[in-house]
Amino acid sequence: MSFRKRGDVITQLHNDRNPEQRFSRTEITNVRGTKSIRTPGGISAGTRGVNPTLAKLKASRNSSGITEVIAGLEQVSIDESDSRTTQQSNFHGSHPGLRPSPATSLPTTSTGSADLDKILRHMGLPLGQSLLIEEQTTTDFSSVLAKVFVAQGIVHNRVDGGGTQGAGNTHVVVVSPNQAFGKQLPGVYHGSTKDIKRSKISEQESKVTVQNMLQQQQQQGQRTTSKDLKIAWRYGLNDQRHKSGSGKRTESDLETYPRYNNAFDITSRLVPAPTSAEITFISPIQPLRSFLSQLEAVLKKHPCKVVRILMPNLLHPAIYPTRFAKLSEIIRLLHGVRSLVKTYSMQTAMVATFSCDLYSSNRLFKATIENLFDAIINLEPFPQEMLQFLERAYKTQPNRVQHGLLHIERLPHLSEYGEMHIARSEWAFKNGKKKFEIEPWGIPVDDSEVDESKSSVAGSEPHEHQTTKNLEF
Amino acid sequence: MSNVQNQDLRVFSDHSVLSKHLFKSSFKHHLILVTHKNGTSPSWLINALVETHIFGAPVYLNESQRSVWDKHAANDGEKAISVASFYHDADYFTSAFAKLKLDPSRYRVLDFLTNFAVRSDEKSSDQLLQEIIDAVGQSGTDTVILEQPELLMPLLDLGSDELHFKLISPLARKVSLLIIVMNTEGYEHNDIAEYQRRDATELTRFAMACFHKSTAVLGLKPLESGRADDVTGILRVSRGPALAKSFPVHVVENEYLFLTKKGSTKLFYR
Repeated sequence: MSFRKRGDVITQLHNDRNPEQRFSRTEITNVRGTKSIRTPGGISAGTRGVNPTLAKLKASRNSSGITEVIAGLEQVSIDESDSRTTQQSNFHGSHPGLRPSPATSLPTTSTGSADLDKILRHMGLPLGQSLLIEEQTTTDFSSVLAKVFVAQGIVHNRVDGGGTQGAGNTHVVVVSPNQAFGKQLPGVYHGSTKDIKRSKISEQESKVTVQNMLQQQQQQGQRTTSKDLKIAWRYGLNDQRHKSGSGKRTESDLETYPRYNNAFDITSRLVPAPTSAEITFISPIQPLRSFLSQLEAVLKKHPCKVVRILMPNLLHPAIYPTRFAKLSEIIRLLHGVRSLVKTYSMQTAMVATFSCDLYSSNRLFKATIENLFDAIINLEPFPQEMLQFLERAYKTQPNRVQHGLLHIERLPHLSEYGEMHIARSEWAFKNGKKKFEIEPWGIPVDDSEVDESKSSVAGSEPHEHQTTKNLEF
Repeated sequence: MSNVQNQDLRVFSDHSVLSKHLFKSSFKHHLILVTHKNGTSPSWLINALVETHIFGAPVYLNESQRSVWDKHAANDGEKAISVASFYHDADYFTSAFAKLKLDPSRYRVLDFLTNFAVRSDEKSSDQLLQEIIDAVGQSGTDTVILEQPELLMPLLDLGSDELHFKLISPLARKVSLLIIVMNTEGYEHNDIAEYQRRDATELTRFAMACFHKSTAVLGLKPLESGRADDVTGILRVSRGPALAKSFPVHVVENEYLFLTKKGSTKLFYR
């Protein structure tokens, strides 16, 4: 049924009722299409389970004084929800930054870090979900994840040439007064200098010229001879097969969703910097109602876009005034934001970063804040001694040195439905130039310590256990 | 764990989850407290309680009852159950109940998440609490599940006593059975500095007062040893302090291990 037809049916239904009934009716349809009852205070109740008697009772009670407002609400909400649902179903299919979650089939968007996407078990963050990134100690790894989350949104927005002028598929909201944040976003990683040179050469080679054609013919001839020679090298061939097998999934993912996620180079900057058509800054330091209405206005303004909401440095004293250290202030703010994320669940995804050390002594305070997020990960950077140990252990492979542990407290959707996904000290992270890597954690063996212990054992007991004799020839 | 026989959930000594005696007018009103932690969401337990209210038993949880359960024998004339949440929107519950094929005329879902923060700014706490009582405790409802009412304390800037006096007690008097679902993450600690904060003190006092008013306590928590593939957590059924000695049935105190996977939950004896 098309939108117009459905609207006509609803209008017809309304016209069939007598005016009294029309104005006293309190059933409305919410954003996701489920029916609900709006009480005088605006409290809505799902009526899928309300028996007719209860509905009548409610309707008759609501007919005092405020029925006109309710009737107005009713008309607007039906039209709005219908148009929004149609628009959303249209843009979900064509959005380059959305894919179905392999776990739940819900539309999911990338966090900007491929490894974090995998850790969340959905290959990203499902729409309508919120992720809290906590960080211990005084390091600032969480800001890297926050920036790539925003940068990924901007890159998605510019995929089809939309971008800076307002057309596009993604909008970003940063809940912070710091307008310079947009200029600090990392640029897309195009590969190492060697890779860039190689890509330039291949670009040159792909051009149709007589010289290139001759070279290609020569290369083909060489390949056939080299293949014949390689037949005996079984292990090498097997290795190649294994490689192609393991990379199958990522390759197929890349083919199906080629622009779903990018690698970002944290040493470069996103050029051009996002404009006001791509990113909106909303300061949390204002009355709650005006903050929430501003946020909702942005969501309403972009009904056909994915809106990424970022709350960086939640409760940081440099941004949030002291009144936010009171539970009533911060919970009202987060409850309001959660309400909007759930109401516009088919177009929003939210990430917040939070430094735990500031509130480490107030565990209940922290737990109450955590409670309002659907997914939680905790970054625990290694102390200096551990880093020194890892540097010693990976003396020959300095790229393998991890920077800290990543604990999982909750996963989107899965934890909410009762599954237990707490995983502490199972993952380690390292922040590199081109990506934020997360890998299974295992304590490496320090070879120098092993050698030292061997030599000390040998030194303390020089001849007692010696079973060999030097032979003279 | 897959080889171990599944167990049925029993809370009261008459082999029921919600005993019929709880709804008899001759006895006083009852409160059941459900506590949970971050790793063990109580969604399956809420579903089981709603099912019990509608079908007489949690048929999807208790396998033995599923086989002998007669759909048509479910008592149609009984009152509805209301599920009111300050944490989830209505869609969360309606989709879960639809999956269980529950009769929509037997339950009501009230969404106190959507727009509640804005409303708390517009109206006084007394007005809002009265509206909640009116909406939740309508005639025709004898059981109410209230999810995370403790959030009202920071949202409306109330103390524990105020919330009990203005919401929990009046609501408990309106219905036969009030089930309160609370997240108790962060409550188990011995940090004295924590209690110097009014917020923390009030939250703890609220939980303690709910506990003292309860007839039975159902506690969900993850394994202390950490994550396991075959166990999600522990469900502890314990007697509440408010259960009178004259009550015809008693709470069967027990500990179950449970496994939640792909939307289904199984219970095992510990």
